[in-house]
Amino acid sequence: MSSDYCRICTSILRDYFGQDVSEIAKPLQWGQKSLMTLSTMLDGKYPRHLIQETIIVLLQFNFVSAICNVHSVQIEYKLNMENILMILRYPKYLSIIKRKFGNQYKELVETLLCLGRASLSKIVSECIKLQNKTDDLYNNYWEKAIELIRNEYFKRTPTYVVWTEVKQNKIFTPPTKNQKDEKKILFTLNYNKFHQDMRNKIIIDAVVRTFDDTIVGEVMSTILSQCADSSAPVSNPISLQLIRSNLSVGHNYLLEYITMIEEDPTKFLCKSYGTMCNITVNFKQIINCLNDSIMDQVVSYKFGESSARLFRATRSNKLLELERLQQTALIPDRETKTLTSELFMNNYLQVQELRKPNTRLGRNDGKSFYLYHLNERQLHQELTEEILKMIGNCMMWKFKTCEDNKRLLKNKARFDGMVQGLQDKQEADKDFIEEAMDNLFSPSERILLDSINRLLRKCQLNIMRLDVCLFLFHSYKRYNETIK
Amino acid sequence: MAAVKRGHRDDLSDVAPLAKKAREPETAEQRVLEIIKCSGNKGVSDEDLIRACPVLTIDERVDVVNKLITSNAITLHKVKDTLRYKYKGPTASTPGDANTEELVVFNLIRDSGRKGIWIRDVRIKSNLGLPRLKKILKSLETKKAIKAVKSVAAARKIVYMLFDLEPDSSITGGAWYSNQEFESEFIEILTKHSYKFLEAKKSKALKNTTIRSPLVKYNTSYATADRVLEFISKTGISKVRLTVEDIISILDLLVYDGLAAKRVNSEGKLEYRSTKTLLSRNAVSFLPCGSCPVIKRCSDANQLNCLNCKHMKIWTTI
Repeated sequence: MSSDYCRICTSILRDYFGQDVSEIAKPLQWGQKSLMTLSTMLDGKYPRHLIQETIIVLLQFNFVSAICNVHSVQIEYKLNMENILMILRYPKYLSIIKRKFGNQYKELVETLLCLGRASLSKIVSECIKLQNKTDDLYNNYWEKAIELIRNEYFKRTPTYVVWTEVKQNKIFTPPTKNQKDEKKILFTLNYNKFHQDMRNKIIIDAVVRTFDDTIVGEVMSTILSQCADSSAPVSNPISLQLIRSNLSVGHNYLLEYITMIEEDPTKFLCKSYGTMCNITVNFKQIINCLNDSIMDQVVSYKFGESSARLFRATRSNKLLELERLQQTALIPDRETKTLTSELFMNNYLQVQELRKPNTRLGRNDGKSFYLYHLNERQLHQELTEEILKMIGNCMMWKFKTCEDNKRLLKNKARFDGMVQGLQDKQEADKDFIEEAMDNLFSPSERILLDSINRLLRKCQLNIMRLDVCLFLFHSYKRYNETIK
Repeated sequence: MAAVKRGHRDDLSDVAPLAKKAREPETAEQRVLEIIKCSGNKGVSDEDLIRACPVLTIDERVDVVNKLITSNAITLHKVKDTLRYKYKGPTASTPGDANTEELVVFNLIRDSGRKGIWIRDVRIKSNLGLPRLKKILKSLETKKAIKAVKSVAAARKIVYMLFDLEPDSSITGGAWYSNQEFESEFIEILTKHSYKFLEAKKSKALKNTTIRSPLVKYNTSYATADRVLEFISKTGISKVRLTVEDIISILDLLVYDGLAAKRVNSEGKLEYRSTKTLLSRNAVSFLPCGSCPVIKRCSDANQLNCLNCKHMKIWTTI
């Protein structure tokens, strides 16, 4: 794991679980350790029971997994950094559920995100408690939770205290309400399903942008909803009839829409010709196109339009000599040289040297061919690092702003809690709250609070935007690795 | 050589069919040249010429052949005891008062054709010293037998070619160069106009309410290079005559700029359509770190970190 990755993990743990947890988890970033080693490494800074408690909390959220090593008597703990990074996506998960199902489902997911892992009855009762709802709604929420399991957003997870495995066919089986050992069946979020939704959303947006037609987006979304396997480079074949029966609009021109998407140079879909018209989605191709698009945008933003042109020309022609590159991109000779060298120095372009073999006399005339090309894998790795760094910087600023204005924010939080309490009792008057606000905070403080809120929101928004890039890079890596 | 030829021709005169009159000497010359040209590298013997051109009288034929030989359009070769005429290439008159050295240099330049020849290559091939060669080239230039053309490949590189030849596009750079200078502004204008055309075609196709089929709408939003060329020539932006290939390279630029998509249609022709990027605004561009040249060195343990960064400070001040 890179240092940027670790930095973000530390920041996330510090923001959500506090300084102690992040400090205790830090040594685990560099490899799995037993409790004994961990406490030795922390050098008595934290009492043993605190370390134990931290690990229990982290185990609960699956941020740490316990590994029983064959060679060692002790249990070792391993930090699951990928899961920690998922915290950045939590707001996205909630918005997906809210858009797809509604507010109550969102509340359930939110509760599970706060609990880490829990039995279904606990999730439902906690949710009711958190939302200040009456117990009559228990059955209502229970049904909704069951629906979430059926839709594969919740999945069963093994327990640690008494080790129980979950059978493959039972992962998405909901428990019955009065089941005897219902409390022992723990549920957690199924990240894959959420990621599938995120990916589908990005694909649909891309299709709508390409064709400037919202109905194409509808068609694509119907096709994507019928795809079974998410990790395969090409989806399962979907029959036209199935799409037609699930589609709400554009029935008359369905085949035309599909032909359109298929014939476009982006080639998102494939159609089989014959008696049974089957459609497959080229997930790998789509992800590659989206990644290329990100890279182009990055190059264009960093180095300018001309460089982006050279970059794209190199990608579409694979290997190009400088002169040929100049003729293809129609950029003046000298400018081409400067721009390519700039791209080369920043590792966006690579150079392959083709030397002429030595002659029999052991001499060669020194002429070599320099061919420009891209190394997409390396570029992805570097860009991922850069984006991680950017997220880290945003989190750093967020943390610094909160630290600097700790007192003010604490007061504001206390005030907000008070207002909430009054509102719940329906005693609050708008004017009364305004007056109280004026008395408690000076005008300059109020301005400061506003700007702090704006800054925090800005940072959070950018973190989420950058996270989409990370998500696409991750998908690219996965698709290009599975194909080998 | 012409005298020898004449003797040889006289021997053959008995075999030759009888004369037919009223031949235009101009046309006869062209015709003979054409026959010799068609024969290519093999050349034409006198018998072949008689067979191909039975209408010419002996005298006429002798005249024509002699004229062609003196004008350097054809040469004589001896192949297995028979003389053959071979085509020499485009007629280029050697300067009348040229000496042998000049002639050697001139021939080298003539052989290079439209691509021209570099002075270094002339020197190596002719084995002449540089000062002498320069003098010869200067004298040939003053006689208007050859001309010097600047190559676009290198600013200082001058190539020599026959005076009346049009330089090859590899020397002049084609439509994108004027006076050996790259016309990037011209290219930019052409690119802009081509994009405008594609964009207009797409929006016209999408807004067209008479067509209901989405596939037809989609297909009509594509334009071939011919159509774009037609539009460009109508607007009169270009004073140079542009070819379809030129327009294709301009449209390819749009593809490289991410503004257009390209596909091959059912007739095998390239078609272009204006398009948007797959993703909306780039996430990296929202932060100053996105364009930071020293982001690789930015670290918390370093003096150069995000909290000390001037740009980040500006970004975070609201």
